[in-house]
Amino acid sequence: MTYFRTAKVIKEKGGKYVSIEVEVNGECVVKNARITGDFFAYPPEAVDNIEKYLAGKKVTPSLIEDMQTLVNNVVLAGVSRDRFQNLLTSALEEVMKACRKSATK
Amino acid sequence: MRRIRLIIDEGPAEYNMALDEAMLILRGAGLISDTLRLYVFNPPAVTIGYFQSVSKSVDLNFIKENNIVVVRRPTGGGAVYHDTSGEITYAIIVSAELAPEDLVESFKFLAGGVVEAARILGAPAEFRPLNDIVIGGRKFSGQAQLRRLGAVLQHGTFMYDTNLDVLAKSLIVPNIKLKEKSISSIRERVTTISEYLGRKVSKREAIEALIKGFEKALNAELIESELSEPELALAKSLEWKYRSKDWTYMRP
Repeated sequence: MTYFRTAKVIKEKGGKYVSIEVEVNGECVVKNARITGDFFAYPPEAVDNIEKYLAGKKVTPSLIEDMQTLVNNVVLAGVSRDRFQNLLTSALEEVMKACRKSATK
Repeated sequence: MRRIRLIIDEGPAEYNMALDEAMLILRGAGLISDTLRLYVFNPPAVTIGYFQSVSKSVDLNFIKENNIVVVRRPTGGGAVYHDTSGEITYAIIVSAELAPEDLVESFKFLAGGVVEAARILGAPAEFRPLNDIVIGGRKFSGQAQLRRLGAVLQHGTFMYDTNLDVLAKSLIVPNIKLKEKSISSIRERVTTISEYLGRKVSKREAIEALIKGFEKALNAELIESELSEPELALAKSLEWKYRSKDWTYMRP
């Protein structure tokens, strides 16, 4: 089974460190999504919910769109919501592209 | 003048984190009054932020060899080393009405006692957003916060004489953070009150300064008290979580 994995990190000046790792299988289904760092989020479980929501789902444009709603439920500190959203979206887009490339081979 | 309950305490990391969470829940339910707890980690421990990867934040081999435990906090923020004879942690648990709604302002307000305590001891401390307190640009205190049920828990460190070499060997800082701060190791970024003053500050001195510092910053009278039965019972029932590998390694 082919796997793709990507990891994206940001650290804004004066802000906190955020790392987003996404791992999918050959069917482009998320095996693991991990959001880590020293940022603050309220409620913290809202970030856990993003990871749980992604697990087991195929990465599609519609799934990426769903992230907007989930991220809007989180109050973040140490990273702006836009930067957090962009990081998450770019990680998912990267694995989606890798999946498409592999499918056309 | 406001009256705030004061608890002076000492215990293992699992107990400390469970009690902080228990007090937040009980304050939210209106079953305890506003409280400041000053406590020591015994045995020494590293606590990591709620979202941190344990293996990327802590040198697990080093802490194992040195009998330092690691526990995940219920709050965000970064990894912290708490030694028994060089660091005091404060936890302030208050109604959300007491703290500013803005997060940075609330960090600053609730940590005001740490800034005042350092100044009482002779160190010109200042708050540096988002959540640090520094002396001459070097950090000696970090804060973390959690809000639930209309109550706020803020806990933070007061490194009066922490062994900074052990701290630097215990914690891992991502390269991207070191680069942004133009430093090559965490040791360059941290200090203690004792290091700044060039003399050894005792635990007793540090606690006395913190009590005076929080009284001044919060314009409050601190009334020393004992933990209640509900606090101890709820903390006991939450301790399993902080002891479990599932919790600490939730983000491996």
